[in-house]
Amino acid sequence: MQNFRPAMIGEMIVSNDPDDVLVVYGIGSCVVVCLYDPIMRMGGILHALLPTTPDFTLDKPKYLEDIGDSNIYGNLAKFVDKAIPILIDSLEAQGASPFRLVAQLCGGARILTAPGFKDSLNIGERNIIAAKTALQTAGITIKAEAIGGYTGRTVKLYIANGQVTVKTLGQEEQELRSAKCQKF
Amino acid sequence: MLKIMVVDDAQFMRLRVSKLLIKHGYEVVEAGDGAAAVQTYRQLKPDAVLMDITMPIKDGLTALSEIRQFDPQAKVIMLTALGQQAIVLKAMQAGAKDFLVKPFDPERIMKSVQKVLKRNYELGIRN
Amino acid sequence: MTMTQQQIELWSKILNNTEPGGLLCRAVRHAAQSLSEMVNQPLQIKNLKIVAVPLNELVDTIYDNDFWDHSSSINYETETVGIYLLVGDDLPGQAMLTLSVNDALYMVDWLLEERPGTTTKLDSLGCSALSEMGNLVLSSFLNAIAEFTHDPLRPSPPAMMVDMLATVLQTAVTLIEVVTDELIVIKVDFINVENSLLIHFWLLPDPSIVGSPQKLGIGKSFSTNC
Repeated sequence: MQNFRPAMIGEMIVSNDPDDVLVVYGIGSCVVVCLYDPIMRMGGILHALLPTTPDFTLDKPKYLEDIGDSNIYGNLAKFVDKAIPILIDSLEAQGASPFRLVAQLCGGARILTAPGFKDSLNIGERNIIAAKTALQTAGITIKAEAIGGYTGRTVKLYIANGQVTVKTLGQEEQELRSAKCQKF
Repeated sequence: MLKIMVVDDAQFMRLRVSKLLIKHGYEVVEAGDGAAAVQTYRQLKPDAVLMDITMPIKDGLTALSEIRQFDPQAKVIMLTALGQQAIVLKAMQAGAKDFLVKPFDPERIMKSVQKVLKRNYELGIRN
Repeated sequence: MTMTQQQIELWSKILNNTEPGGLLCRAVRHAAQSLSEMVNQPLQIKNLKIVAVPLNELVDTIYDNDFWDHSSSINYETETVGIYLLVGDDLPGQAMLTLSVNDALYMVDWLLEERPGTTTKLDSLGCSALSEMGNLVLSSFLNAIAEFTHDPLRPSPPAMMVDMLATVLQTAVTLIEVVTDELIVIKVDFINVENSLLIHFWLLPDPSIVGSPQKLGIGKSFSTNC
């Protein structure tokens, strides 16, 4: 029986249980990275919020002064640049080979543009750039992607076969294929 | 026919206010932000203006000041959801003739428009 | 006092004046009253809450509602309308109104003074009416707070989206670029009982300014009907 396991904001899940379907519901400008090792039939999903970990070493914000230095960033999985290496390490620790891992990338939509809102800096696009950079640094190929655009997406990674599907509002769930890439 | 400019970023508000004014026999021109309001005022010199405050590009208080600079006799009524003492004061100092707080109240709007235009008429400065 | 200290102090005053006659309740009642006048319908205030929410539990906050007896029919992918406004420089944070698409169509009929059931699709006029509703609710809330501060509090113009519930709620934390793992959520429901209509009004103080919930004295969740 399929076991749907949602990854909420700043969460990552690694699994080798063929019944598991790792899901991120309604991703907008956030980014979802799915990594899969086809030999081990093992995969991981990541739901990151922001492209880069802020640099507090030079200018530590006042609100962080009462928090110990070791914990100022909290959960690193919410930052794309730090989260991807952590996901790769977690998969490797459970027996996956980084050389076999293939990535599928979703999200980074520009869903809200209005005067005065920070999203006009297009955080979605910055998230995608950060994800591609981190994956390239790790030497992982992006097999397929559904990025950019103007709508939210539900992304599912089926651990049994590594298939990734994408669903948008009012549409059927569709398998992600390279030919269906949605570019900026 | 007296011409009134309705300035609001919400199409919905422009429509409601315009309908009301047209029903009362006024000609209406519309602007969707403060910058468009200043430009339209210069071109068409309306007899009165109903102006929102929270708007993109240029807010209503800035537009009010610029319109009053161009035409010190401009009759501008603020129509906004921001009913705060400090903002009312700012608007009055910048030369607003009246200050109406949303939600939309047709009776209050018409009373205010008629009052402002009547003063115009009495002073003999109708454009 | 620096700007940041002033901002923290103001949020702190709002978050800690939660008794029925206090600042927060007064502001919420003012917002509800303006909305009620705008649509010319009675509205009740329910479930005013202040909660410290871990980032990964934000989306589930919406289920935490004793009014919605058919809550099983909503899920992360339910089509939802979100109206967003930045609260302003003196009170940095994100405000948001969320409602189901069906309730949004009902609201549009009221706003446009049409017979209920007339609007079947959200066109640009309907979206504009809903955005204006967001402007009115937050502005009215801020008007009540400004009576206390005597300084003007001005929101940004509204922005609106229709998408899956999860997308709509996650967008709020993206807009203020939350870098913390936990955020403070003020949430209240405006309800029209006769028509089972429910509007959620959310305020998220910018965590990069206000810091941790503990620092602001936000402990266990608090709930009232004002």
